[in-house]
Amino acid sequence: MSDPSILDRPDLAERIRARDPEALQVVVETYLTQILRAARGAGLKPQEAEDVAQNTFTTFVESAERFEGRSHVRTWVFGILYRKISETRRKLGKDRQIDDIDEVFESRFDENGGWSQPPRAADVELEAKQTREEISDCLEAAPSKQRMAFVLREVEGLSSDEICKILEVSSTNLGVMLFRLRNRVRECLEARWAA
Amino acid sequence: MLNCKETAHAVSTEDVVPVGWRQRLAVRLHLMMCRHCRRYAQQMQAMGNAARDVFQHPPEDPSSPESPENLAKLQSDILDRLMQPPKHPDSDN
Repeated sequence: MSDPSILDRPDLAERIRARDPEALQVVVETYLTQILRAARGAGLKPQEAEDVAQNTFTTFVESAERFEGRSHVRTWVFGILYRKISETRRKLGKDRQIDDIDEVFESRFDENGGWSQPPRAADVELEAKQTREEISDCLEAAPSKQRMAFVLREVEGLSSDEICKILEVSSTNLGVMLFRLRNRVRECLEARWAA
Repeated sequence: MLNCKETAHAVSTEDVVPVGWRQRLAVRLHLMMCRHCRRYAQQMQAMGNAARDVFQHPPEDPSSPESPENLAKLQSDILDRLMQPPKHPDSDN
């Protein structure tokens, strides 16, 4: 592993532009795993994930002249990644346009806002095991932007501010996206816990 | 006093939508008193834990680029490509 402090140095953009091998190596070593995880989270197949990772780094190097070190490298890399993933999902026609989870959520409550269909109680340990097994399948139903928001938040633990910059959304918008994704996945898991 | 719907909504967004202390307190109080909402909150938590667990490990699929061998190969392929002089992006594959 080369010296990761290169990422914080002011000459990073310059070194990337010059295709400095050490700087390129640090960037790829630091972010490749996270990129592949996010691509998997967004529902890409192994080959698609590899292509997207490859293209993300190519664009990263090509756009180095526009990077002045103002934003953190990670925000910049993930911003590129997000755009590549959206392109891929669009090309593959994978994203469903209709999001009915708001109505599903509403239907769980009565007119006073109390539960009319409360969350199912199940065996907690069994449920945790099933959650691990089923979560990837249950994520599959959600749009890729929501999935990416979820993975960046839950798996990579990025701050709300950074995710908003990467996905180019407001924090209110991010809240709506995560609300929809989490409730959609919860509904899906619950249906499977009951099965 | 928050109702269940408001509580569930708050619970599923509170880590990204900043709220004041009054709201946070109201959510905690409701959770203390309501087992359905507590259960909902636990499920939200479990979902995050499961995602971390699942995504932090490479999948068992041997074609996954996240498996250690494939990862090393992909990394060196990417570096080889990046170090070549610029040409038509995305055209060779």
